[in-house]
Amino acid sequence: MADSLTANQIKSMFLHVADRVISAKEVLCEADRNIGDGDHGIGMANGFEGAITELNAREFKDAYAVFRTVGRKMIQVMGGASGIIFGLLFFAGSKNMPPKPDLTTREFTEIFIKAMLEIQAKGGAKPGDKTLIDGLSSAVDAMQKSVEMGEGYKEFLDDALSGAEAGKEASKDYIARFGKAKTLGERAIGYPDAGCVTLTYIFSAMKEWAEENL
Amino acid sequence: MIKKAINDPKNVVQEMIEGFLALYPGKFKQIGNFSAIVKTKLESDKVGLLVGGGSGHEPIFLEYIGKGYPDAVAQGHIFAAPSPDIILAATKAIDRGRGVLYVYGNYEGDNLNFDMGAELAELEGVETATVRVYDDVASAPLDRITDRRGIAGDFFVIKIAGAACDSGLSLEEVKRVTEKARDNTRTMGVAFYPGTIPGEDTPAFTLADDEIEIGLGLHGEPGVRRGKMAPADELVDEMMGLIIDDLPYKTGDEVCLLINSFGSTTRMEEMIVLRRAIQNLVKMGIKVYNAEAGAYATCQEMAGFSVTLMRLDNELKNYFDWPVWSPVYKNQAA
Repeated sequence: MADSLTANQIKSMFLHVADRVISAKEVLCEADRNIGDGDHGIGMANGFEGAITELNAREFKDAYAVFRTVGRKMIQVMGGASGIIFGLLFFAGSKNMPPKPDLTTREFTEIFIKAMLEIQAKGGAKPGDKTLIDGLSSAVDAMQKSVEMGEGYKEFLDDALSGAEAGKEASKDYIARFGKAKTLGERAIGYPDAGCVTLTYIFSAMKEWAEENL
Repeated sequence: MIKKAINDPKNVVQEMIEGFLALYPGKFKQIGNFSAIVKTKLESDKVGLLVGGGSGHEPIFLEYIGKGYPDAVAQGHIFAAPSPDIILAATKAIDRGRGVLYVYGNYEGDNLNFDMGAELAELEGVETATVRVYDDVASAPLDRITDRRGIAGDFFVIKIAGAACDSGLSLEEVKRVTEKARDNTRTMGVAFYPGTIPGEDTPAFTLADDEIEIGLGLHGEPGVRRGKMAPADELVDEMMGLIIDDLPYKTGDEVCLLINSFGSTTRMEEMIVLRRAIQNLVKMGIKVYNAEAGAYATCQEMAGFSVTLMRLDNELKNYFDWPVWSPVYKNQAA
């Protein structure tokens, strides 16, 4: 049972996440087109393409630096709301952390808790507003439970994915309060938030990586 | 498939900037490798004015730069706000020690990126102020006006902001004047056909042959209501009714009028719509100080138009008449 991931393992995991999200570009655009402007997949692919270049450019001894590198690059190259929101997802909880060679599931969870708080502080969204927060808060709940149960990374990431999936499903029932879907009112019901869809791709790729590598 | 004169969709913004710079040799330049441009000659001792937003809406924001107009423009990818790094580079390029005013459309992406750009600028000692444009009456009720989107009203708000900066006012004062322009501006749009993101084969929305979308967003995001196609005069009457009641504009007011077309609507249609808009205003006893019609804020090949009014007082009139020269707009005084 893997209790911690090294900086290099996290880098390898992020490279897999990047591949998966880039391959899902069209699916993510379609999710956005339903209730937004249809460019979400393009932005996410841009961001993760930038992240791949940065990650491959050097070796990492600090696990937080991997998160920080991915997040900062996404903020820099993506633009749009998703550039800040997905950039902060990885950057907010890693930016001020002292270097550490590996991360426990508890430390991994902390990164996403801080991200959730900062994204809410900057964007103003709450759970139920049909934003990334719906998927993220549900994933964070699942991660915290898994940490309390003392699960290893494989089970932990599986739980995170289930949480993100549940949050995505729940977001279908909400009226959007933020983003380009907010003028739709009840016309947005039945469609999940596109950011929540992306989050499920991210955790699904992390889970896949863990199954193959741990 | 969608037919567009583009190369690799990833390069559309950079290639557009290169073409634009070639149209006005020596007047503007790109800021490093960033998708941002700045005036080659900056007048000294003024508050800097930066505008920006997603690409794909040209002429806005790219061509909104010049004398009595913004000093720099930050462009994002297609329909996506520019990143904080682009905004920071542009901010530093135009700060003359008196601070920089940001004017942009009120969208989550723009708000988040410009706010983070402002944070980074502050760390580097540049003071900034922000005016978000939210003129789209259709996008939220009046009691949630700060939830509304910025659309063609940018045209008037940027005109006033450019003049206020050019006149030498302080950062605090240019912000006040620009907010006054914003608060007196209202817009309502209608779409007939959707636009498409370059490189994508599916339009942002679809409409039946006889359907129109009322209150659409300038990114092709769906509007608030679908209706049946109607004669131009009926559309204009309905849209103006909503605008006029919202501020409200009253008998005796003086206004600037803008008919903005979205990309593939023709010059002929702009004129037909403008004529009806003026008839409406005259009937209400509202004086038209200035009327413009053109494609000032577009969404690729989207068809449709919007009507914008800005109510004037003496102060706004002074800044509206202020000399301006830019690729997109110039007046007699310049």
